[in-house]
Amino acid sequence: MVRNANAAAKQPKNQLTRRSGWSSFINSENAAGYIFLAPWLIGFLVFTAYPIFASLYYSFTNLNPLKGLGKETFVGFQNYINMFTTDSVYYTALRVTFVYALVSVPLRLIFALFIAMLLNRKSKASGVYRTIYYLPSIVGGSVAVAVMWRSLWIQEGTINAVLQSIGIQCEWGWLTQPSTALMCLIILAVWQFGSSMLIFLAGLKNIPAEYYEAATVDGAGPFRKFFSITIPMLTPVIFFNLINQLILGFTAFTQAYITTRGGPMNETMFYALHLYRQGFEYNKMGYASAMAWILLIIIGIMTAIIFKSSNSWVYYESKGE
Amino acid sequence: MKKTSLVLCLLLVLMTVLSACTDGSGTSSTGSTASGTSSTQASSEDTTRPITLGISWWGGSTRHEYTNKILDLYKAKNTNVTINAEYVSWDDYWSSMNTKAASNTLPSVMQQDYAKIGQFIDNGTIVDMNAQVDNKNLDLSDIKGDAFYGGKIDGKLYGISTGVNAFCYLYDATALKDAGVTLPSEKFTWDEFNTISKDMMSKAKLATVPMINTDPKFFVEMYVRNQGKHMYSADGKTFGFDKALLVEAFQKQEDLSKSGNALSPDIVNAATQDKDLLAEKKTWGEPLWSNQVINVMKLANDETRDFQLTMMPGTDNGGIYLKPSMLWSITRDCPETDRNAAARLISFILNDIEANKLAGADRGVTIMKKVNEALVKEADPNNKKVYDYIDVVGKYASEIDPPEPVAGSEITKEIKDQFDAIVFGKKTAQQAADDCWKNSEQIFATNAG
Amino acid sequence: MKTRRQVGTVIYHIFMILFALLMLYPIIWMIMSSFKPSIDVMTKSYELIPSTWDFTNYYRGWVNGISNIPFSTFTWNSLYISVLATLGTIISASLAAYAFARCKFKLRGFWFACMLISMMMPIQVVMIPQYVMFQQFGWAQSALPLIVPAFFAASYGPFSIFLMMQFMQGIPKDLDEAATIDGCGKYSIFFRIIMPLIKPAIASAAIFAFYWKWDDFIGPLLYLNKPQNYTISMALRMMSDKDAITDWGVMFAMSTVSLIPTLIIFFCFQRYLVEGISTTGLKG
Repeated sequence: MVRNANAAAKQPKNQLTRRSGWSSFINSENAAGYIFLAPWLIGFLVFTAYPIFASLYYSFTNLNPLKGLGKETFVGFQNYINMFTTDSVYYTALRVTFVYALVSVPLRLIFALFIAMLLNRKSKASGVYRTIYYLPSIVGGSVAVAVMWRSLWIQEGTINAVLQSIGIQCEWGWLTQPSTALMCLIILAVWQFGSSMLIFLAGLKNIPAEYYEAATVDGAGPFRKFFSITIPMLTPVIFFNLINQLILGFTAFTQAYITTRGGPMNETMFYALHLYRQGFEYNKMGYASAMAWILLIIIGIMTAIIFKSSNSWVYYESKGE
Repeated sequence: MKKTSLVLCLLLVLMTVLSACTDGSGTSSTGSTASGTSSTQASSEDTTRPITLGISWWGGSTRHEYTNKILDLYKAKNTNVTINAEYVSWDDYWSSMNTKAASNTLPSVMQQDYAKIGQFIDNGTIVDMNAQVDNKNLDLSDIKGDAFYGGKIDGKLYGISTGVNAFCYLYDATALKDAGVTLPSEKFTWDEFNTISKDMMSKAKLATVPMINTDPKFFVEMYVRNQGKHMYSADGKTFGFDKALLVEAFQKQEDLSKSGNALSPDIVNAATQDKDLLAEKKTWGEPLWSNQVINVMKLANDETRDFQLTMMPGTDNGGIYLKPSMLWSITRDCPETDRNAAARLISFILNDIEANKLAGADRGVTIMKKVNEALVKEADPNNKKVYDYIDVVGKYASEIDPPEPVAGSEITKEIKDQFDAIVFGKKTAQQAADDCWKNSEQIFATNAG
Repeated sequence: MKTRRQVGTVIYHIFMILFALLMLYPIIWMIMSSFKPSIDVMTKSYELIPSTWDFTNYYRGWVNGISNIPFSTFTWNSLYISVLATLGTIISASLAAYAFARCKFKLRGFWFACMLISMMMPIQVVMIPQYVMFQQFGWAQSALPLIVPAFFAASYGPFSIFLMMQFMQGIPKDLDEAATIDGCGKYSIFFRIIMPLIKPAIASAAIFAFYWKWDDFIGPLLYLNKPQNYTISMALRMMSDKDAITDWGVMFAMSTVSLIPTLIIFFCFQRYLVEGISTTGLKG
């Protein structure tokens, strides 16, 4: 490919070079597109598409893993009907997941952006702060985090101890009371904003310094710069973070699984956790598959809405002014 | 034209790749364990042919450690056997096993849990071991009485107990004596329970924990069994008792919660197996499985405290039962030719005295007589309490209920949810029982398919 | 003026430090717990600084490990799997991102939607069909299912693709046009212009791909059957037993050790997030 480019470069430079058959084919939008796409496309068709379609098929069956694949029978829409009519935990799981995602995602992004702005400078101190704020993100879904978080928020935990030391007598069991358990998990998610912060930092670094310089020359102050340069230039990254975090928020599983197991009284029963229980503890894999597809549709609709709206608020440099 | 041909080329490549990959591995689905020998006649047992057995269990570092040592002992005595051991935590075990079950790649021998074994039996995932007992590869000659403890269903032996345990009420005898409260008798009646609960609160400010907070299903089960009923009906499609009994059982908890002697739900729910309420002197006693007792004593780390075991309140009329702590089963993915060898491995683990000394009572109190004698002789005082308790239970126990039906796991969760509502004071016993009954009927219905 | 700026800086630092302490407290607790004797970790969980120091946890975990498999083995397993998978992801994802961002090919929208959908599927539901599929390939008892899909932008690929797309779309098309006039084809543009300009995206994607792979336990749980092949994420989970006491000191010690490679990757790639870029050549 580079060979062709070099060969083409040898032609006179002041005209749009006319390419010969093979070279023009390989550089055409379609060919080049598919060649670059090939690794992902192969991977998708081989590793991803089959399991996804299989799960769609299973959602219409009563697959029980213990029987082995191939022994399931077709049940039509029964799984979907059961989901909405006989599953007493389903609506709780939906509600819990919506609250979790719709509260933790904006909070995370706001913190991430705010701190990224503060750390967007080349100083040793900034490097240290960046690392510190990123650290919580990498403790992730380990057992250690679960234990640590529990020990913070239970009635005799650190949070209450700190409150007591400043004079507030608090005996509330944050993690064990149904009304506040979800809040503890939301805080856990927000505490781990470092990953989003990194992406914002990357986005900030991509804003050419010349823009700011030109703005200063024109007499713009920091607020003006922020709203007229920074935010618009950041919109692709904000868009990405929004979609990505939303998907992660709705499919969240590990934190609830290892910290609270869905309790107390199902107040932290994330959708994915309920799904997992159905599939692996009650062996109703068909039903779990149906749950997954409903989740997919929900996330899909939300994503589609955000995508549609992106035309009006996301600014891509490459698409011109 | 050129674009279409490119796309077709790519499709061809894709198909070639896929078919090449699928062709190369057709034989891998017949169980992950058998080596390539082709002998199909298992009648005359050739104990020297090379064989590979897979075995899986769940546990923590301790159990992994000693079980591997046991397997090493076995391998030393049976040099033709290669053992592929898989071991993970309890949480991960079932995801892994279920996935393997779906693809027919289970290891030959697997550790089983009584609450889950019903599903494995119903779906044909584990096999009958009677043949192995008959041809003596699985040596059960030394078993205590008829102690199959639930592994035998309809005459077929699906799992052999690794050891037994039973529910008990572990209490701090020192604390009771110091408060001048009468110790529970061997039978622990409800009157005794209520009195102690009241007195310990007033005299020693020690509260009482809920009736089996982690798994209230067992409380309900023992309660109805004590009235001569069973948890589930014979066909597993409904409860084996009337709603009135459920109300009574829930009422016991409601009475406790409203008595002013109950430990706050926040403290109760913050406990884990490493942060034990009794060890930390937050309560005077708690319901536990007998094989959890040693841990509590270790956590308490206090020689001056005398912990004693007694039965669960109000279970002396056959309510209490001995349960297989865990079971060993042979899976359907174990090739027929290997089943005798698998049985011999299980037999060793159960009968070999050295192996059991390594295990102690970690997998329950052994059901083999000679092993029991050997272990009891060397038992430290704490372990001896557990062994003695199991003997006591034997006097009052009635046979364990058959394994749970398909709906069992969901019903257990439903009972827990309703029980929590009582503990948190959100529902009365009647309301909780009504909701529980209604939801359970739906669960039974959807699982009937 | 100068004092005002100094005061501003001081306030800035005070805020950042306080906030940092808040953020770090749980992690400090975790690290401190790794220096406590195991029995103290939970019973004296309110203590930040250990009253009794125990330095053997690290040694016992690293050298003795679980049932004679040392944590050094588990760490190595995690390392080679994560590094390979990250490499694979970056390569395949950047190629695909370029296709989506810069090439107008037929069905682009459709494939993009497919890619997004693959991000939205919960793993719990695809893990059984995936396992069966790998079973058919004959890969099920090895690390291949954990590594090979990464080279085809599966698993964490879509995230990286999407991320890099956003950055690529921030590069003005004028650059592409200038390069085309100079005789570059699509491929040269990719290697010489686009890739160098999205270094921050590559860095971020690499950090994330590594960390997610490192933390993943479901993949290793299903496909790595011999305990000596287990990754550190699985090993940590294997330490706790619902029936017995867990050796918390060792577990926290090894959890702390488990943080180190991800941190190293972070440090290595961090400078790409700090470097500025400029689209020189476009002045005017």
